[in-house]
Amino acid sequence: MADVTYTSLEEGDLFDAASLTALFTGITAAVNDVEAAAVDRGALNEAHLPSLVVDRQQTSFVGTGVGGNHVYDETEVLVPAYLTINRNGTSPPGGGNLEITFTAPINLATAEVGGIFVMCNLHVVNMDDDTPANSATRWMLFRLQIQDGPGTWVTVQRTERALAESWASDQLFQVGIRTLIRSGDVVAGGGVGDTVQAVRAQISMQTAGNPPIRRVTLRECHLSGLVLHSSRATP
Amino acid sequence: MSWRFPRFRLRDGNALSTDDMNESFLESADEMSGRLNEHNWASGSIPTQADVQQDAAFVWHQVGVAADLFDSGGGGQVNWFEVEVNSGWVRLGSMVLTITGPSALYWIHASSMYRKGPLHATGLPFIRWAIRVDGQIVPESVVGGLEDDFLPFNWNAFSPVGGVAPIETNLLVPVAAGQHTVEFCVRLDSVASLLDHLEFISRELICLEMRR
Repeated sequence: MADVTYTSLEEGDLFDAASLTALFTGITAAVNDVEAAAVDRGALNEAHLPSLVVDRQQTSFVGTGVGGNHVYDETEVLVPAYLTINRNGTSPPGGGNLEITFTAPINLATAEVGGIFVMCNLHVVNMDDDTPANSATRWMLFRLQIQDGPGTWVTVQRTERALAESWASDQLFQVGIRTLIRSGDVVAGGGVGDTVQAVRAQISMQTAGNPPIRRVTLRECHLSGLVLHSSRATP
Repeated sequence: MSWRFPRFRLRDGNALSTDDMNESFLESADEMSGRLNEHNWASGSIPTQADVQQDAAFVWHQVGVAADLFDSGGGGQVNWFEVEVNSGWVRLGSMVLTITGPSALYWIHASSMYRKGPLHATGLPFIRWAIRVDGQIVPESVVGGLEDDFLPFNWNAFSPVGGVAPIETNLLVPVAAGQHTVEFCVRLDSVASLLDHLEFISRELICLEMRR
């Protein structure tokens, strides 16, 4: 309960500036230190409180209809190089990058956000050279990059995910990447500062070193970033 | 201040009454005793997020490990984590969060990439991943099993190693006020003659503590 001290005026008491000031003192103290119990239950609602979502961005490649395939091959990219997933159900490239840009750069050092939560789902059809006899196993690789304040893209190493190839049949495997972009990730990746402007998803692959060429076929791809008014506890 | 204050408004020419004055103050004092309501705050009266404590609603907890899939192991495969067969539920090394706070909802995400160890024979292992909260494996978080959805394709074809695959699971769970532990675990049940261990590379465990 709010602690309000009020001493009633009695008949015969002086009714002057001093007595009025004394009356106000208890009320003032209570108003200046409103306790949670002073608020009627259910009184505050969305009309009083601001949204605690600082920003949210999302992009999807769905191609034409449900799942337009898009293909990447080893003539375009080989590990250690990576290529931004950059075609939306089309090949050659079309539809822009699998990339999200925040409304305003997020400064993880000063903004009141504990991190940027990123979810990325990539539907893999297969990695295939159509040559079952070619038994050398190779991998397709995926990772996330963030763009720092000056505009440099840097890698978040812990988001690297790989999947071994198939031979001839489809894999139909969903690669899920979840990460919390935190203060320090920009510098750890070789960037400058603590500001993140954008996030993008990339692809790479190994080669068997002999023909025919490897190629990776992707279907739907989704990338989203959620920025909440939040803190981050140090583990 | 209360929208009804003061009950007895003094106007020019009114006689001063201590009773009226007391009534006006007492009513306001009464309002402060648990009756402040939506009328006491203007719509949008908390105009910016900065007016809300940073940890009033959401607190992130996270632990992540970056490792190099192409680490040849010459100096030891840095940050890799190995899980032996038939060890029961095993926490993936540092993948644990200890959280102390009020009653809340935990939104937990665990993800990793793994590589199988040398395969000694043909056959599928029984691999499961899960989130463990306060020492209990939460069944709804378990992925894997005899289904091969989480196995590298052509599991049996890779020799001696090569099968890599990503896995991911998540969980939404309410907890009471106090201290809780959240862990990312794996269980490899198999016969040692088939496969004796798994290797985990980059991995991450995230918990969004939703306090409101």
